[in-house]
Amino acid sequence: MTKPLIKVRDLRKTFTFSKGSLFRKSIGQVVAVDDVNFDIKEGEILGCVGGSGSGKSTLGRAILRLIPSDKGSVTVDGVDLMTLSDEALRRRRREMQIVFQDPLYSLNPRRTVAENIARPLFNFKFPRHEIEERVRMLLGHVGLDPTHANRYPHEFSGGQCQRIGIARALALQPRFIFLDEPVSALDVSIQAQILNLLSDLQEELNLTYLFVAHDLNIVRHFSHRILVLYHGRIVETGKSEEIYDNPKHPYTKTLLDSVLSIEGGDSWEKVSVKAGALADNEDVESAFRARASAQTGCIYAATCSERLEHCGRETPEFKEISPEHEVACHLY
Amino acid sequence: MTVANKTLSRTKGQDKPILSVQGLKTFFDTPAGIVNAVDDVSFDLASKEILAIVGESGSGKTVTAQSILKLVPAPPGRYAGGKILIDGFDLLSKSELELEKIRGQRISMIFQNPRAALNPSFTVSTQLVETIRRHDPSISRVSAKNRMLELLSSVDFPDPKRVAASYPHQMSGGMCQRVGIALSIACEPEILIADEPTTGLDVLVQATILLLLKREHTRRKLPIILITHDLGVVRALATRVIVMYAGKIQEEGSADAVLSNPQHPYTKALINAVPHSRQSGRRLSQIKGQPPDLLKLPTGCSFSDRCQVAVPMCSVSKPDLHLSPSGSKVRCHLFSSDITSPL
Repeated sequence: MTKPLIKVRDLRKTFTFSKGSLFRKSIGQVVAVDDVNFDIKEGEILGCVGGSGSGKSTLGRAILRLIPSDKGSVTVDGVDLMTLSDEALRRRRREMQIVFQDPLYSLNPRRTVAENIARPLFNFKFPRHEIEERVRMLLGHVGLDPTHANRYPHEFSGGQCQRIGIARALALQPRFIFLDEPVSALDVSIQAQILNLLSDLQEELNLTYLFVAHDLNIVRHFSHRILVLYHGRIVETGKSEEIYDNPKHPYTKTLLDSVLSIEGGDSWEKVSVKAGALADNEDVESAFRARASAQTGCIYAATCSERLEHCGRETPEFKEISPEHEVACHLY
Repeated sequence: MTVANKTLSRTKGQDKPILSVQGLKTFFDTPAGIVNAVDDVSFDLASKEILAIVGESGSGKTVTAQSILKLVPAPPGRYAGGKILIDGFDLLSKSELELEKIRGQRISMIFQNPRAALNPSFTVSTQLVETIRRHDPSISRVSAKNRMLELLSSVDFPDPKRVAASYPHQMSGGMCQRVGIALSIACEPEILIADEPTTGLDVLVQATILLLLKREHTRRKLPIILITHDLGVVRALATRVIVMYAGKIQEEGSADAVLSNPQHPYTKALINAVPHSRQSGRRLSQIKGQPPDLLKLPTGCSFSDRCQVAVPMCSVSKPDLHLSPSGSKVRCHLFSSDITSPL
């Protein structure tokens, strides 16, 4: 668990917004992932948290090269994915899979469960008898009845569909899986089942996960290490207990305060007052404007409650607070 | 909108429930059989409380909320029994025309998907002004517009004029939900039903929406029925909780009793399945099995097939609501006095 499996360096992804149907012209850009650097160690579960629009999903997709990125490199075993040819990338993808948020829509409704799970195996031209055997094994692995292999996705509940999605991701025996909000569409009682399944599989197969979720209680519980993203930039990273018990960045603090817990506590109430400031530029257009103006200085400066004078001018560097706990903030 | 006749009904005694649901049964006739989505649900809403109805998908919480406004699409939906009493009148027996006067004006609703609840082809201003004028035809255009801007600033928009001119697609989910709240309080309702008001919003926006609801609750003395699956939201807002499973109330009590001292095995399992801050280790306690299939419910207690502490009696006879030591009402055989009776 010490060797980095994936190294992400200066990864940047911008989306261009355009207007007009025939003569399209660009009316602005939004930086979804902004020069991000981090490693994912082998056998690690790296959690990724941030508000909506912070670039969590885009980051995961850019790492898998499901969307082209503007610059930067993603190195797996010393090979830069960004420079690979299509065919070489296709072969590499065996090692890297994704589990999507919506369990039902990510499966092909016109194919049976077995065909859905076998699709990646067909793509890599596995012999027929091996495919059958493996599908049966995978179904058992994710806790589904192998006799249901010939049913269709709509005959299953959300939790079962997510199990099918996980089986499909596991089909090619990957080393890395990007879990894009895998439990947010599921009922509470089923969430725990799926998280336990993912956790067991991770230990059993020594998988590496990048785990994105909007429920911070779940991320804390599930991940070894956490990245906190704000508007496409990493603002804080560290071991998950460290981030939760000893958050440093003002944004991380606000985010954690907003978590509602069954045990009670009213920290969320003071958040809303602060978040009211966030809400001012909540709509897409002014968010872009705020982002563009924050190109110099700290990205969080405009909404920060602990803002210093030079926050708006100088971009903060990463500082190590304690081993593996880094924060990009002028306060430290 | 004349406020006078509103206050009349509101000042009627504090102890008397403002809304009383009695033995509500909402069934759906489907080709596969009759689905008892809401099966004999009774509860009262007191004038000062935030009542949370919690449950997973298929528990009947949303159908209960929709039934209160008689919004369940019929067919396939059908009100098979029960009463919904407001001021002694049964809502279910009212005509569509009479209901229109009640919806929005006396009971209003916030919907789960804020963007879908707004009309995409009209600006916020048009939709709010329409609502205001529809319920109070005597109001002038100008004062309706002023009232609209007032409402928008009351839901924390610093620049109501700009928001008023926006279309739903130009706004974020949180902004749409705040417009939804503005719409729902536009006619000064006596009861607000919030159906999963923060599902799908990120945690920071969720906090702002919840605070807004809490503030409107205190400011307007507005009782709220909060439908949610998120126990954290319940803890943050609710004063009383109803836990539903398979169309029936399983546990009902004060928020504190239900969340801190759950009695029903289902409530206990649900609370345990959520990661706690004190939790150690990565395995969560899980509820085995699948959410209930309302067409194939067990003969006895609907939770019996997933229950950890089920006794043989549970799969045979349906439990009634019993009073538990914590003070909450629990639908479980474990709390009946004849538990030891041979079965």
